[in-house]
Amino acid sequence: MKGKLGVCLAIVLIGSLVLGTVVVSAQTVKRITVGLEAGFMSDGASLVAPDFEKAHPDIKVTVVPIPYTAFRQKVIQELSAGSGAYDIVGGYLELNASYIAAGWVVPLDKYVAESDIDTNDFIPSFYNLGTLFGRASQLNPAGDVYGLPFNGDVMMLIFRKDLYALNGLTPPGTWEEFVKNVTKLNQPKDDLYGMAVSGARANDSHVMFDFYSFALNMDGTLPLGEGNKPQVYSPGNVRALQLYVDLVNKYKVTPPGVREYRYAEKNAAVAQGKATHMVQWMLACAGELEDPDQSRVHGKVGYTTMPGGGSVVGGWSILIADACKYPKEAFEFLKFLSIDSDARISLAYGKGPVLKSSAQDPEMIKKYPYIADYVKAATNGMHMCACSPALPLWLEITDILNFGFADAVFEGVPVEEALKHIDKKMAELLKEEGFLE
Amino acid sequence: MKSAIGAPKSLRFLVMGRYLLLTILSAISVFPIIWLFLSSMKTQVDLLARPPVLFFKPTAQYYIYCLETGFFGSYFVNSLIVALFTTFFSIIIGGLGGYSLARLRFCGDKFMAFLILSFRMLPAVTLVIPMYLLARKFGLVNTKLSLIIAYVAFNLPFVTWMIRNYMDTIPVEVEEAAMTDGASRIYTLMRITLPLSLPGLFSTAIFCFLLSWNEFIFATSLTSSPKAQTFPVAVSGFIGCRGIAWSALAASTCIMLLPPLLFGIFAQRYIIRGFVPGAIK
Amino acid sequence: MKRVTAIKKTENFAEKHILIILLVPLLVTLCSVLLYPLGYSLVLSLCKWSIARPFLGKKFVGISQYIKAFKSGPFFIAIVNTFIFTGAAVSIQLVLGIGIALLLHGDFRGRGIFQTVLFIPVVLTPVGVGILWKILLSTDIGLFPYILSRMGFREISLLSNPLLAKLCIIMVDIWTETPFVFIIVLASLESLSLEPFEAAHIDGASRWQIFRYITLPLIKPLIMVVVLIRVMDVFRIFDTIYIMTGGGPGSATESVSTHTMRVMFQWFRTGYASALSFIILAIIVAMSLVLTKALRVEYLQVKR
Repeated sequence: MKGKLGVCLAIVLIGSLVLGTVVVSAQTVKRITVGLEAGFMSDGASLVAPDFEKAHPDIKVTVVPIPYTAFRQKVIQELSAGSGAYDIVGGYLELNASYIAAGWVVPLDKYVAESDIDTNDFIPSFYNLGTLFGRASQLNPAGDVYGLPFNGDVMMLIFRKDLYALNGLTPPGTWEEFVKNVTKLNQPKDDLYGMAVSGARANDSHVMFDFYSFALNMDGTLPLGEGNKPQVYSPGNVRALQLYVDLVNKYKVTPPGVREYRYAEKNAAVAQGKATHMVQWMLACAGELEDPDQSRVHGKVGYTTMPGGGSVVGGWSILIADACKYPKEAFEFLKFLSIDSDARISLAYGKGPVLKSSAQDPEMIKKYPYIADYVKAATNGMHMCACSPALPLWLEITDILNFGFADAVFEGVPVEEALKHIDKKMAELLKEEGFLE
Repeated sequence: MKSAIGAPKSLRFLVMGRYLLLTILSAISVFPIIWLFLSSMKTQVDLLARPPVLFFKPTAQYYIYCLETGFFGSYFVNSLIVALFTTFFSIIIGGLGGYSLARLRFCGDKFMAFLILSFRMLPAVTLVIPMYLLARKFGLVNTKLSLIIAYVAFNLPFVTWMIRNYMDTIPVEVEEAAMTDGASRIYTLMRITLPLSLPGLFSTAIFCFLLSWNEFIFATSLTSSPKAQTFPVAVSGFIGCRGIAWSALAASTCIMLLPPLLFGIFAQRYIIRGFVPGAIK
Repeated sequence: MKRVTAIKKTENFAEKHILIILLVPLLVTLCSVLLYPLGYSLVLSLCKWSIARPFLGKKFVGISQYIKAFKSGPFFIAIVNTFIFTGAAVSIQLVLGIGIALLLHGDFRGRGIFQTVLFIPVVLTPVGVGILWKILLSTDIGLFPYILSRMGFREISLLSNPLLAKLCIIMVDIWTETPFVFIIVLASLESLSLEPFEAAHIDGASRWQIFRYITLPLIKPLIMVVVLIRVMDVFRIFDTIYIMTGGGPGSATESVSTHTMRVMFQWFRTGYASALSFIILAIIVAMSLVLTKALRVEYLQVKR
């Protein structure tokens, strides 16, 4: 009995050892691991990766989808350890600032110079994600390029155009009209609600974006002003937060469970026909809302700017990790993903195009008739923190903002008090880390 | 057989009551798992439907998706390799230690109490933080080796305790008899004690395997890519996706729960021995 | 007999040596992979180090991290939540577990099947458990919110209401870990000798009296051990909360473990996280000492 058991054990162990060795020894190819946000970005990369591999037979690309809620954690965990888990990583402006400040990513200038990329074809606000807006950033005064744009998007007002037509409504031009439209299309008895907003008091919440979509059009102020001084408490911001609070508590146009809402839940609410309005990343949600498999409202959705015309602009770039063993090959894939596949992935999934030339592609115009508006909004829009230096603290500042706004909306904290509290916490944080005198 | 509750069970009412209660409790126990399985066979549209559909056209597409994407192949293998190696090392180190502690009476007891308390009291968080930082230092982040080391460290006190308890049940006299006949301690250990303790070792091995398979907090902190990531971490990655891929989530969870479920059904006896403190048979 | 003792005596010395040698791998392993990392972390808890901002370096700051922890609102909330979970979950599990053990005790048809079915939740992967309950409880696709909405509770969202989310977490722990309790109690019941029961039965005691005055005191030592173990386990809860609510809504279901993991892996403040993790350890140690005294727990239940 002992003998047989011993033999079994030995076989199992040897088997696993062999398996491990086999996997490891298949290293004659150059492997590039790409860590991207799970969803259309990782799906898009997975879509085009095989074609890249065909063109470059000695390179193997593995795309690892990382869910948004764990993205910051996973990527920083790996990058800070130099583990080489990801050779290429995605990042938005604030994350990029963290990467660059910590020295975890490779400057791309020499690769860009060597290649035939026309950097003028990039929509500037998306390209600048990878340079931290050039000299505006104290983290990258030389304006080196660290990442190529991969996905761009603009926050727009999403509405049910079929219900608008039915009720004789037009896209709101003023905030009064907005409130009117939202309350008109709010019929809780039929499980229909006016607006899906984000409410999650969490790090990946969308509260901040919803808030600033209002605030930037109500003379609100950006979080940090001259010399990194917190200026969240301002008349414009007070108006904006009051509107937010009223939508949930006074007009009661939000679905139950809105307290849990982050990005995905807002989309689901509209896609399932539960909510009739939301503020959302236009192209990202279009991918979901127009997909008959996922959405009950495909073909019934309209996209317009918020009253006032200002919008929050966001986007993701792709960067090469310092620990990458094959930076040159990684850059090839970067280029392929950012430029060659821009229109293709945008057509297949809801990815926002980053090239001006993509916006002129007839196929793109057919699929996204509002693409000219998109480019215009993207060029004129406000990057959330672009007017202040991209601090490596931005992730914590985002938390303070999200939590603070959510408290006003859901915990009954009075609006002025909530904003002052945010300023106070931000000042504490900045002072502690030496960014504020 | 009279039970410790007393009173003859001839009253049919009591018998029916018992069966009824047990059935209800069993339903509560098993229903969520069945619901999970049903959800894994529904399409996304069916899942989101209101009212929840009870009769639907089942589809295995999500299972196929799980099996086809090379990912799940590697995650499953990672979990397996980590679990096997952890079990192997834990049993050997814990086995030798447990045996020695079983025979070394006077200091063994105190040390044993200390060990078992430390296992139960140590929060995983407290060990995860330095494990991650040290893995960083030694370049072991995102490797299976770091997980194996972490799991062995975390499980060793418990494994040692379990094995010591089994060794305790092997009477010293048996060993002494062999040694009287001239056998060395080592020989006795190999040829006599070991075979006798095999059921216990087998129990411990199963328990160790399960602990390693079910582990999450170390795995999510130490691994991030198909190279080393284990199954629970990969499955948790479905959460927070745009539109939350519920069906795929359900399907992959079913796959993940399969080994523990099988162990639970067929190896119940062995697992129970790991629960019961002390050598209650 | 005497001869054996004589041999034992002379062998004692050498035998102890071999036994100690066998102990060495265990000690070496424990020291290097358990004690060393813990010591490293302890030292780190006296420093300020953020690995997401390596350019700031490591600074020795003494116990200021611990003081910060005591002043920290979020950490305090996490502690309160964790105590709530522990108290509620353990007490309910205990009662349920004893009840189930009594139901399963004895010979009757189908007992094995019932026992197996009731046993299953405890071996499942906690992540899997979190997912399957999330599927049942989440507002989007959950069965339970739908049933509730049919019953007229329109506004209820189970996992995003602070109180209900807490209840759900407690409920999930009860569902998962009650088998642990009942298995142990059952084993204990079956190991009891029958005499006291037969005697009591002959004397005409009622079932409840037998249970209260005979059964309970006899299994009490084991129950105390179970309570101690469960308290220490629930206090460290992480996986299910992480999957089901991520600590939300707000911090309603944040436990000490999820909070510390957040500090470590979302904010990357390693020194502060280390300090928090040791405070948690200290709380658990303190609790177990208190409970041991209060419940008169005996650790060494070994039958020689």
